[in-house]
Amino acid sequence: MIAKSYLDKLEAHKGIIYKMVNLYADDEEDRKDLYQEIVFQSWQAYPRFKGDALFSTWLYKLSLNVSLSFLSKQQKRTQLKNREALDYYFEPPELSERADWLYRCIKQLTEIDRSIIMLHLDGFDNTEISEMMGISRNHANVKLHRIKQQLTTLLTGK
Amino acid sequence: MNLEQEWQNLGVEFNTKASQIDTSKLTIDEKAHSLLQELIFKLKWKLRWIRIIDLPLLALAIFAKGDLKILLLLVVITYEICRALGVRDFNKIKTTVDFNANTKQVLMDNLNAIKKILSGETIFGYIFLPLAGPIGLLAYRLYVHQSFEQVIQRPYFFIQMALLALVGIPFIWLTKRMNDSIFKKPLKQLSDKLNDLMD
Repeated sequence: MIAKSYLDKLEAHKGIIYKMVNLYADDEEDRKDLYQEIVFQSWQAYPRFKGDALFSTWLYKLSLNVSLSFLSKQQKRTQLKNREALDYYFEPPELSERADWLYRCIKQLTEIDRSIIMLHLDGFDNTEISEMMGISRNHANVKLHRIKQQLTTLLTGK
Repeated sequence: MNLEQEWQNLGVEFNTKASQIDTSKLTIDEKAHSLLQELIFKLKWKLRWIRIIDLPLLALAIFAKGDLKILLLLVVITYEICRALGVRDFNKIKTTVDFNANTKQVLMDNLNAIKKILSGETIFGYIFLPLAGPIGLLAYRLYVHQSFEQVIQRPYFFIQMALLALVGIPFIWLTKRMNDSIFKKPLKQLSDKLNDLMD
């Protein structure tokens, strides 16, 4: 029952994970691993999801934290006992040229800066960003200003 | 360029394309891929291996006679004490990372857990590696000569013991190099992210 509820919610919000995976993993193997890691960690954490925030916000935060602590090409797969390992089909969606350009520019930022700009662009205010990241609001403001300048330079090619 | 608008467009594109994916094949993957999970898995197996090594030694101790029996029993007891201390230390380490916490906390928890596990392994290496050779030699000599008294009277016995203990040093160095080659880069990555966040 809980698995069904989780999968339904995941299904409705899987765009968040795809967006995150494409931003933090470079090749297909890494994307696949990161996707699975996010699904696994969110499944593990789901019983603790109380619904006091939106599922999308919860999934967003969790995906971000998993992505930032994900260390590409360093990890081996670890089988957990008493659980059936199930593989699934994965193919990252192809983006339009314009979207791809925006993505490539954001990917030139550091991983922390990527997460901050992504949170900002997805409508989280500076207080929410500072709470999610564990930094002061002032610090978040300064960082965001700096990142926006850097990103604008990258996008306009100046 | 309106960044927000571009991002919204990209979000729409992702959601549209993500919904075209065959979701009937979407299932929960029951594997953890993180470096921390891998370390925990290996450490648990190392602790099990101490027990696996202990059992044949205990069996030998039961059938051995004289001082060899005492030596083997001492080794088994020492290994078991070290194992118990290892398990106790391992249980103290916060090995689960709460991904619902803030990013700074998640990165710090990951970093601290990995560092603590590695330092625990290093301490065990410093204890076991220099002892393995001398214990092996002592056991062999006791098997041949039966008593401690006769063994320690053998010419160059203490020099041989010291030399064998020294042989452990390159192995300590080797294991440190192996750990560095596996963990130095990911630890630096985590540490850099944390510094970047606080910068």
